[in-house]
Amino acid sequence: MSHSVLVPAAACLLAAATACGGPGRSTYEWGGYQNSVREFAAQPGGVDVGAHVARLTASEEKSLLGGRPLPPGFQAHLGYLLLLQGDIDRALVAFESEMQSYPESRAFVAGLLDRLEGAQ
Amino acid sequence: MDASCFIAGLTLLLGSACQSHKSWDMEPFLRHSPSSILVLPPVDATLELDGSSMVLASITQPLAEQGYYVFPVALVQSMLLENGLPTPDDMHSVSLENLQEVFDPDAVLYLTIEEWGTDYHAITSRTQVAVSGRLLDAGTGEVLWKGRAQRSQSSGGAGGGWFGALAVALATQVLSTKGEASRELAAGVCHDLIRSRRDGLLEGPYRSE
Repeated sequence: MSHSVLVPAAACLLAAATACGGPGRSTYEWGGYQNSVREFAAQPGGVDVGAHVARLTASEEKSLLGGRPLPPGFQAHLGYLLLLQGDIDRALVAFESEMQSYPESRAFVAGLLDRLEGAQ
Repeated sequence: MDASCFIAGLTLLLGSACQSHKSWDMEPFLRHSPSSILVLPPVDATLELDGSSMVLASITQPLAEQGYYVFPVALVQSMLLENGLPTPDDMHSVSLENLQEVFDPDAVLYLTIEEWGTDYHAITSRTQVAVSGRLLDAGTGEVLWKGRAQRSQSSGGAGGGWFGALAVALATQVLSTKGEASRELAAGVCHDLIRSRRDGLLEGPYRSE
């Protein structure tokens, strides 16, 4: 096989190999979401909620300024932290965004909001 | 057959391999084709204190990048805790009907941390993590997919003589129990479990769009 065939051949194979499921570029703006989840999951009552909200809000702004979309669960997670902080208005906005971006969350988030209203 | 024709054929074969050639029976998965996945906090069969929260924090990314809606895992955990379910074992025993009523997922992912341990060999150490998962259809309870992944990470054994190597081993050990190294290991195992070309999940709706 000559060089003139080998080079495009290698390029083809490389393209095919990377086209599927490779590490590649992330679809979403993950920002501080995973760190917040890890700290929260390890110690639900022991996190600095204000610091988490600040970090997630920064990620949200980055996404809104033409970045990648926020990942599934991000807005609902932020909404929950805002609730813990007592910021009901912003929490409702975040929950609404989760439902708008991901209709799969609608039943769950709507149920959450119903219970919240019942509790008030 | 000339070379370029052969290469085109091979490329096509490789390209189609990522979605259609899995090691597991895809029929139930394709029949239900879930788009939303509820992940319950992992059951930890080991003594690693932070294992469950590290795996829980690492699982959303590969699932979402593979194309699924993933319920907010920390919020789900809090709700289950508040409903009188103190441990992952308790959470895993909740009926699918009850989970459907509250979360309405297409499928539920049950994870178990099977192994999370460090072996010490004189001046080196090796940490091994293994996680298994089962995805059930939320409506019927049918098993849609099962998988297992493991990764290990060695540390120590660097140059600098016996004392230097010991210092490296101790330093990396401190890092790998608490910090970045453990997180990377958890993230790597979750990635392999969900996105492995042979054994991982098929691509979900947000990926093929």
